[in-house]
Amino acid sequence: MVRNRFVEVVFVSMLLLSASCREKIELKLLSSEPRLVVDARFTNDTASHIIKLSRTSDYFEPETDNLGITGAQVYITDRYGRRIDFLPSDSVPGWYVSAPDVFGVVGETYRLHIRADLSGNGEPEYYEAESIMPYMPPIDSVKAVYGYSLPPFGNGKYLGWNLLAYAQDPPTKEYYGFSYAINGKVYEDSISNMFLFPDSFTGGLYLNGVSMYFFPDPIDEIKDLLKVVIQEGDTLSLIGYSFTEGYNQYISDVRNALSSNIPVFSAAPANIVGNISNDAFGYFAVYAMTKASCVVGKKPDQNQ
Amino acid sequence: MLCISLFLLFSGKVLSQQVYTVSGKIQDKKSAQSLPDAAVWVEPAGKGAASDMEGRYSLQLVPGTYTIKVSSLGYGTISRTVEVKNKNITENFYIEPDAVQLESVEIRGSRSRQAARNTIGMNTLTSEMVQRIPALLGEADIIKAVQMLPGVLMASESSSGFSVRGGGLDQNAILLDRTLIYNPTHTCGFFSVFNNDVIGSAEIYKGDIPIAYGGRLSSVVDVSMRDGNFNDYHVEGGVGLLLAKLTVDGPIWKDHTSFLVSGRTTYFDMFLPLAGMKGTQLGFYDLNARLVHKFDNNKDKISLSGYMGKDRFGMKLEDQMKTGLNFGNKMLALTYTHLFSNRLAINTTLNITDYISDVAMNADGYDFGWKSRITDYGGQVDGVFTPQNHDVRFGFKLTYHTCQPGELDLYMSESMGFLDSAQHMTFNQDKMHSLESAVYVGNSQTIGKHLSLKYGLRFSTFSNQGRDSVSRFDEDYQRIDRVYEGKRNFYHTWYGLEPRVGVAWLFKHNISLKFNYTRTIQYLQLATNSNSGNPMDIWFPANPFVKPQTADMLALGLSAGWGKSDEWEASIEGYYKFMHHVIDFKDHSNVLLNSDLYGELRMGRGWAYGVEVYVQRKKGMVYGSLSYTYSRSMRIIDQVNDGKPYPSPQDRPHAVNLLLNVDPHPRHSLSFNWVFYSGQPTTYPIGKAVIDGSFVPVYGKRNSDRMENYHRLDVSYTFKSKPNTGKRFSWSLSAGLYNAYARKNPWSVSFKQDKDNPNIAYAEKIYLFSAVPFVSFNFKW
Repeated sequence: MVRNRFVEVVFVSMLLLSASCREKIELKLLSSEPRLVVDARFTNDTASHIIKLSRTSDYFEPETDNLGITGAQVYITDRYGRRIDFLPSDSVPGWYVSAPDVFGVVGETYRLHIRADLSGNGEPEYYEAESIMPYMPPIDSVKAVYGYSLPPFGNGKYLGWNLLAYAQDPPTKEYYGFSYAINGKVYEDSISNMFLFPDSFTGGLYLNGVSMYFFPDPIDEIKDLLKVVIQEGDTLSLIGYSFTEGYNQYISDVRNALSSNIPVFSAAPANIVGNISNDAFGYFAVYAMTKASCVVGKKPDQNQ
Repeated sequence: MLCISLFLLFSGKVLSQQVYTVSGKIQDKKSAQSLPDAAVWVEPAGKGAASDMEGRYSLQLVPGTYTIKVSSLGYGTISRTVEVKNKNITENFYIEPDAVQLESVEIRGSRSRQAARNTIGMNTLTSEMVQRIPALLGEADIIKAVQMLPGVLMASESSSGFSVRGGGLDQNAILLDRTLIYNPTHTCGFFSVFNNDVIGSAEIYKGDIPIAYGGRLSSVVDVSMRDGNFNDYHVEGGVGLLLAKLTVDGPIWKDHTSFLVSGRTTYFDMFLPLAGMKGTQLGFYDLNARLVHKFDNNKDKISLSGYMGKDRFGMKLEDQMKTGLNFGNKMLALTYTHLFSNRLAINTTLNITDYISDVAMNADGYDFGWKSRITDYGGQVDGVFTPQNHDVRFGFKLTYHTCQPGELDLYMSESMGFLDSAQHMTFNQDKMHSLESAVYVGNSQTIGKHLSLKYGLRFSTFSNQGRDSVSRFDEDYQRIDRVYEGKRNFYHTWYGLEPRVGVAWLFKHNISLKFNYTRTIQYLQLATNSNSGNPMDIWFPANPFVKPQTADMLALGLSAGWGKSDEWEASIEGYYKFMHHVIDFKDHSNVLLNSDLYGELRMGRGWAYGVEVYVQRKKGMVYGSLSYTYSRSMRIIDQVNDGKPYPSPQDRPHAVNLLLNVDPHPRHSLSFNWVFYSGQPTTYPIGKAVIDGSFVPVYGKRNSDRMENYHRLDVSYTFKSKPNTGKRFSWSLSAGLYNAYARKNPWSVSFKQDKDNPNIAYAEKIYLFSAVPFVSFNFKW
């Protein structure tokens, strides 16, 4: 719930007060041999799952559409040897798609197998990864409440809709992630902007309406910054994920790598280590997800 | 070792003819303050000495008639003829400040001092010298002056952290009146904790560390507060753009007891609303105080020094929520000096030092606090014994450390609306207690006119004390188990010998050649995985898993002085340093609130080498110094960079420092300061992986790239009141520019995706300063 980073935000913003400036610079960077990049997410949701394979490229190389790895063999097995095949997508090169009725089971261990010819020598290389699907407690309900943004994540500055969650956090250690959906469309579920919520301070507690997201009213001051605006009658959903410790670490490493380098806080840059064998980049993430929805009501009368 | 020491100690005696001691004290004529580091030179014996921290000096002379010349930084020179017959004699000197010559003081000590010292890489700085260096925002700062010495590198722009001869940022012992200051920075390092108005002098040892010091691998910065005036009251103050300060000193009991009180405070906060930062707090205050009593017998002296400072960063987000970071040092030192005879003095110090940083966030019904702290209780006895041709130092030191790496407190009341009842949670990492001790003995001796030797041995121990839970790790740094140690139980002890040896040969024409070997051991280190450190970094001790860091350094130096009263001086020094059990952090480590901090560590070794060339002119209308350093600093750490060597963050091969003072008129002076460093080592991406549209960088070898070279020119101009008018009140007005040609030195380089076209990536540098002007007014009464 409490993120160390807020300290950095305070500190760095102070530091940068001192008339600091940013400027684009020209740099010539070195190249490296292409490596396989795996973005595989397998959940307990009954759906068509997608595994994305691509290759690394030069950092400043602007072309990113041709990085997909085609012609690979991709499948997942469980401990009983059951196999789920992922077939190449017709629309996007490098995407491999499962049948629509596929789902994982909490507590099961899954193994990802990839045979892909990255070197182009006609001999595919073999990559694999394994992960367990951790437990995700249910979200009892969610509620949209109009008012100022509520603590602990809100700062009470703007008026808008708070999305409150009601759920029991079990005493065991979990690494939660959250995103939301409006009328079925999912937002902020990417690796760089989903809401990471390790339960360091909520283990064993009943969360009786903690404000997970806040959707401010589109007043002029912030209108342009808002991704979404909530209307009366919208269906608002909170989607929760339960990650393994390793994947949680991977997400935060990726985020650190994407954030600005601030000498007082940033460690020396280091490669992100995933769980795929054979020096491939990326992660085979297996996680459970849960969802709770509510319908946005009428705004209370401001004059009352 | 001890045998050799004893042999050399006695051999000197046997070989010599009958000699007598000439000793005494050097004091300021007006204020009666003792003058440390004053130079004493005896003609025609060709012998010299430097006064100690209490202003005392001692020399051994065969019977004859001599001229003793005494000079000190900012003071005139006085000579006196003495005759040594058949007994020891006492000669006290009272010297007057040299108002006109004040600015043209020597930077590195006089010929006599150079000859007297058998130390490589040692510098003395006084507050006057520091005052002359153009400083950011006009606040003279001794740490900024230290950063301009050859072999010393600033950690990053604006930082008060520094690396000495390839060492780490936590390998410098920064002492105020013999008491360690754990975090010498204010306001992100723009200022240091040292208030220049209360500083008497500072000695900086860059590796050839005297036997009396220990506990850090790379350097010692020993800063002493000055005594208050024993005869008159004085008020001294200054007002700058962002900072004001006031110092008052004077006698409590004339000629016996004096006090000194000084305070500084910033008022940045007042200007922040103008910059659109309403509700923001930023700044610091600090206080220094010193009380000194001299006994009538002129043999005893007692002093009490104290420092406290606090930094605040805070933000108020509307009325509902406040966040803030506070940190500060406190220190108290009680020193008693007793002169048993002209040849034997003992200094006893009891001290406490404490550093706290805390982070708080408060909102309605919600309180979050995090605190880390280190506290030391210490005592030390240091003795000086100076028989003929010898300078024997001995003593012991005991320090009890308590590190509190993290204490977290979270309170959420039911008024927040999402809890059934109020929740109060605490998460306290175990406090780590340890006892560090050291005992040392060393001797510097001169043999004949040319040769001087020094040799000493320091024995240090470090014991961990329970209650504690200690994780044990295997060779792959995987935790095997955790052992619980009972309260007060000393469960593990490290110990080590630190030999230090040096030899110097003084040739004709004031040329000297010096060579030495120094071993140092460090038992406490800073858990920082960032490049320049921050106030929340935690100190943690060596334990059964973490071996103490050790360093062995070999240094060779050649120095020469020439011209009228040695106004020119030049030196060349080379060194090679091996560092063992060097500590770094694994990739993507988490050092904050990590109850298994030791599991994040990775061990290895390091080495550094370099050559420093230094030329200086000490007097004249145009004077100053120029230095060039070539140095390298490398590391090999398990599991970092695939276990292969890589340049340490402090590896900046080329460094140039130029300091130029021009005094065309007694009331006008100009100072220029130009620095150049090779770019900071860094790691740029060699590729990218595209995940969810984000460009995740792929890196090659660690620190295989360099940022742009760093260089900067600072200029200042000072206009002073008329000197020598006999008036008590004097003032000076300074104005200047930091980074005068507005070089955009990179503080960091980041890689970004274009917001409008995410397929395009670019590199962006952050630079902290363009040209920064300053004005400050200082007065003395």
